[in-house]
Amino acid sequence: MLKYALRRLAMMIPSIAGIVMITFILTRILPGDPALMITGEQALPEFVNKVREEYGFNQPLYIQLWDYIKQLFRGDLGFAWHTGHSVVSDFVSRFPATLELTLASMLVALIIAIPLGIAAASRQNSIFDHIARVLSFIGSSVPIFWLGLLLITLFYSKLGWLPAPIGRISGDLNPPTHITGLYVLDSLLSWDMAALKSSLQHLILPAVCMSMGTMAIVTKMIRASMLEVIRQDFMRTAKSKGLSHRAVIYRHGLINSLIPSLTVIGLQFGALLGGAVITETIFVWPGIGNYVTESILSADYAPIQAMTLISAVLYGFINLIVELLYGVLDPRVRYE
Amino acid sequence: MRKITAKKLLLVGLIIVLAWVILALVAPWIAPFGPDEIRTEDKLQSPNMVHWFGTDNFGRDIFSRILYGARVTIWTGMVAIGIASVVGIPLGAIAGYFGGKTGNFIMRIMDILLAFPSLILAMALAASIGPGLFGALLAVGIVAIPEFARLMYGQTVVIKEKEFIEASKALGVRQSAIIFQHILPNALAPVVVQITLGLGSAVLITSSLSFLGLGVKPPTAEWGAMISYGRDYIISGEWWMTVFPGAAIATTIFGFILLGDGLRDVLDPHRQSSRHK
Amino acid sequence: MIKSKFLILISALLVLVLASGCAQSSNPSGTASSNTAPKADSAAGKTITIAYSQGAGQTMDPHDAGDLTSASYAFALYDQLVTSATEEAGGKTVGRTDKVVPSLAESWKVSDDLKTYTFTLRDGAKFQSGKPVNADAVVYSFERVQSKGEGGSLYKLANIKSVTKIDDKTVEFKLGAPNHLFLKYLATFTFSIVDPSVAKGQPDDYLTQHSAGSGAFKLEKWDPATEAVFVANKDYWKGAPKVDKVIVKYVAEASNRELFLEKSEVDVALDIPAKDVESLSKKDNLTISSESSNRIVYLGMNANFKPFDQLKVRQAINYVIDQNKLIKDVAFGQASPLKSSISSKSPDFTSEGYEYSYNLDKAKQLIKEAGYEKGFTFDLTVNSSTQDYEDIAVLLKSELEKIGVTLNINKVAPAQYRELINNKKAAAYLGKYTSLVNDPSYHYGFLLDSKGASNYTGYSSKVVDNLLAQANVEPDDAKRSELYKQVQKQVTADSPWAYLYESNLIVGISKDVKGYIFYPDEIIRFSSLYK
Repeated sequence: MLKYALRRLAMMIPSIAGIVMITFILTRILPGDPALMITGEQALPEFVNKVREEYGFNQPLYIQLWDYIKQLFRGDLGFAWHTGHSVVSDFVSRFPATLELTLASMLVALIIAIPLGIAAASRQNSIFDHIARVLSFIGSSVPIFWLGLLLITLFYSKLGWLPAPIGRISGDLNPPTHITGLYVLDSLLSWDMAALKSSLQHLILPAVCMSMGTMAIVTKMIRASMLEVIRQDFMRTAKSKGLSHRAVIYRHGLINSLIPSLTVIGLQFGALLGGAVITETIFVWPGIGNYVTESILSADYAPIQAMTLISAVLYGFINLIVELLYGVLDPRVRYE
Repeated sequence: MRKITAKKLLLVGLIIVLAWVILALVAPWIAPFGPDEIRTEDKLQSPNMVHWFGTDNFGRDIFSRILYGARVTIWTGMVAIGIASVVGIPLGAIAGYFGGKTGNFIMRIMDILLAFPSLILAMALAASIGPGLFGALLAVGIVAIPEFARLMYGQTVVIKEKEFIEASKALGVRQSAIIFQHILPNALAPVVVQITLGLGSAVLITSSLSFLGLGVKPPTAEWGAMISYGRDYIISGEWWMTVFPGAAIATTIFGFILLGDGLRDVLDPHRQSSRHK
Repeated sequence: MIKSKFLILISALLVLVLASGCAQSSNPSGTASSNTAPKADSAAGKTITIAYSQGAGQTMDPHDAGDLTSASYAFALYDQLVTSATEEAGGKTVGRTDKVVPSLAESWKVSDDLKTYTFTLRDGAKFQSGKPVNADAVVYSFERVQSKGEGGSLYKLANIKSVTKIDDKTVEFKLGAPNHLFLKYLATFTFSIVDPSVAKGQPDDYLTQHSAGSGAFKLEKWDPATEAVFVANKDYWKGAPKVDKVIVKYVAEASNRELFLEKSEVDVALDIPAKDVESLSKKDNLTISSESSNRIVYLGMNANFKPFDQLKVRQAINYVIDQNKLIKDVAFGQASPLKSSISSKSPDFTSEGYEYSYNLDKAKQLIKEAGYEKGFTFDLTVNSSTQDYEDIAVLLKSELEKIGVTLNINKVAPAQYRELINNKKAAAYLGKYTSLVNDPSYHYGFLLDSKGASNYTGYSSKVVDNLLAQANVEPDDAKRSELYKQVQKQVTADSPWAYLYESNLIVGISKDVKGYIFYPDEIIRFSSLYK
């Protein structure tokens, strides 16, 4: 398996080269002149040109590409002029926010999807089955940006149950001591209850919003694969051995149905950076999605390149991990 | 028992989709107002007998804009998925049929494209191609290509091993004919399902792009843009500017998903291919 | 073997699920009670939170700043030799960017040929490092500013030839030519005085993220993703600010800023949507300041594109515009008519020569005379950053339809917008401008001089160029004023622009926050705020 993993990693190298090319092309075909944006409205053309030279925007494209590749090898992701910080420092301050949101939404999705999927499969056409069906349809058809707006209106402006949907923690509280960068985890670790409460309150709506899609898919997957498992021979054997219906479902069915769900979960996680764009925009969540959107609108090349590159590479790795996990979970899978 | 529910759902999906298509087609005849008809004296009216869904800040009739919006949405979805399938399906079939270096190369590129977060890719493409419907639908189409290529690749790899393909090969049938006359029809069921589901996600991505300000040109009545527009008004109580277009998007996607899922259940690919055995 | 692996994985998953289940379920009960809890800032000292609308700022470097947010940071962190005046008007204090008062310089002398300015620095003015603000610092700052984009531009425009230290407290500026607005240039954030003892030893981009000023505030933290935090400079030479901390948050969405202000999540919110001014003004816990700024909004028509090469077509567009309707339906009354190519807040403003009014018949007639009896089609380039401009375009489109003209709204992202208009590639565009220096010389030098850097319509008039050149060297105020009035009349007659309106800067302020001063350049000076 290790050999297989290493070979797969080696195979990723040409893919990464391709990804680097695409990220570069993506930014250069973006319309807009960054030098004009950097200097501001009331700058004379000669100074705009000076900035253009400083950033190398006046160089031929192949030289810009070469510089970009050299930069990557140095581990330098460039400078985001629209924030006044290096892309690395922006990434470090924003990534935990996106990660926390994604993890939370994944948890919300699984907590609801797994039991619901099981219940729906084990009692077909029962009330659970109908709930599962309705929920998965809602989850896959309601646009997040609309749902988000409605949730904010309801829980913040009308009911006042939740704090202002801005950022990860109330403005008058200090974020918990930085350990992992995930506010909920950090405030637990440093036993800061005020911070824990506030960060959970800020997290809940965006997490629920973002979880809808995953929840829908995972419920469907679990239900379908549970059904398949239930109909299989070994379940009948298990039952005939005198195991209770419940035990059969949990011990055998769940494990087997988790395997295909793993792919879905992995894929959803791989889409982590991209999936958060809309949610982060609506909830003013200081994460990567927001950052990329702003960068695209202001034609800030370095962060767009870096973030798309990182998310594409991450996607590749997560896919590989999922594939390897498959082998751990399912003895039938063999790696050539 | 299960088949019956599947058929029922399929029917519901079909009705919803057909309803939207018909509404889109007859919009000019049934819409009480023009989509861009500005009557500032009637602005921000809540739903009433004249304006069923209320009016926006220019006094435009939301109901009429939603009807016309259906044209934009369905048109964009169809063209985008058209692009995706016309490019993606042959690519996947070629890659699957010939395999080897060509196939590997094609699929590798598709994998790279899949690795990018689709919405970010679509945003960058839409911004690059330029504002307007064309940019949005092209971006949505390009982003959906790898899905079709991948699906077709998987199908082709399986089908080409079947005896009847071997037989045609032995009979000296041209390769293009094999691909188009044998492999494609046999992969039709999953492709149709993918197209239906793809339409749903195309509607979602297009409206997301518009919501982020990268979609259609104003004043085009487009649902995502209408929500984005109504966003500033939802707090001050003018909920109808946001709620109705959102419901329109949700029902459309819902329809496509029901239809796609239903088709998948009805057109069971295993039964289809068994015909040739 | 395999089975035990399954069990471990499953139990791990279950534990995770359970743990998170608890965390989530403990949530709703906690949320209900918190929303009305008062802010815990009284113990930690007074904090003012401001929601900004135009970005989290691109830099802390005053010499490099080009956007409104960065400019406002510069004013908090740094002082200048001179600064804009304020005056009491109608019970409130307003900023007068057209008048200059001493700041770090306590006095100055101007030579008879108007080309040499000698400044005497104030005793007791100190940088935050404790070092005195002296002639060396001034010389250093004016050297440094030349190498920067926006700063270098202003340095060149101000026509500074040399900056020399006479003694520790005296600095002499020599100009290339007399410049009646030189002092106004010096009052901009660009000519902030930087502490050489901090900046000199550091790399050039050090000031992008650090402060080295003498201003009322120090930079504590700047995370563009969330907020910028400024703490009071207790030793400020003008006296310590009355708040301990100012937090600036970037909130892009107007409705969110409004919401946060209403719920007291922020103390001040910039750019409140005009449509809600009326309803918000009625609330007890906040006040709305809506003041006419220097921002003009216009529709630019490039005469190098057909059909705008014809004066009659440009005039016709002017007759299609109903300023009052735009003000009512787009700006919800929070704007005033624009009757010249410069803001009415500017010195030497005149509305003379502006005779347009909403008249579709006249417009139709003019278009017919210009040979476009069947109408024509054109693209209007609009920046997507501001909703108002899209609204204007939508209204204009419907008006133009009535006279057979088709307008396509080309709504583009800010970066593309700048590229299109700066390269004069837009046949028509919606433009706005707020001159950094409140003077017609600066305004017209950028916008309508044939070589102007922001002359996006490519307007080129010998008459205007000559008048502007004459005015620039005219020492007599009255005569110069007359020249600028002639410029305005000529521009209005040539109609390269259709005037739309002068917009207001709308700021929402919580009732317990005092000391807000409006400045027409739209840059927020938060050092005057207190609770």
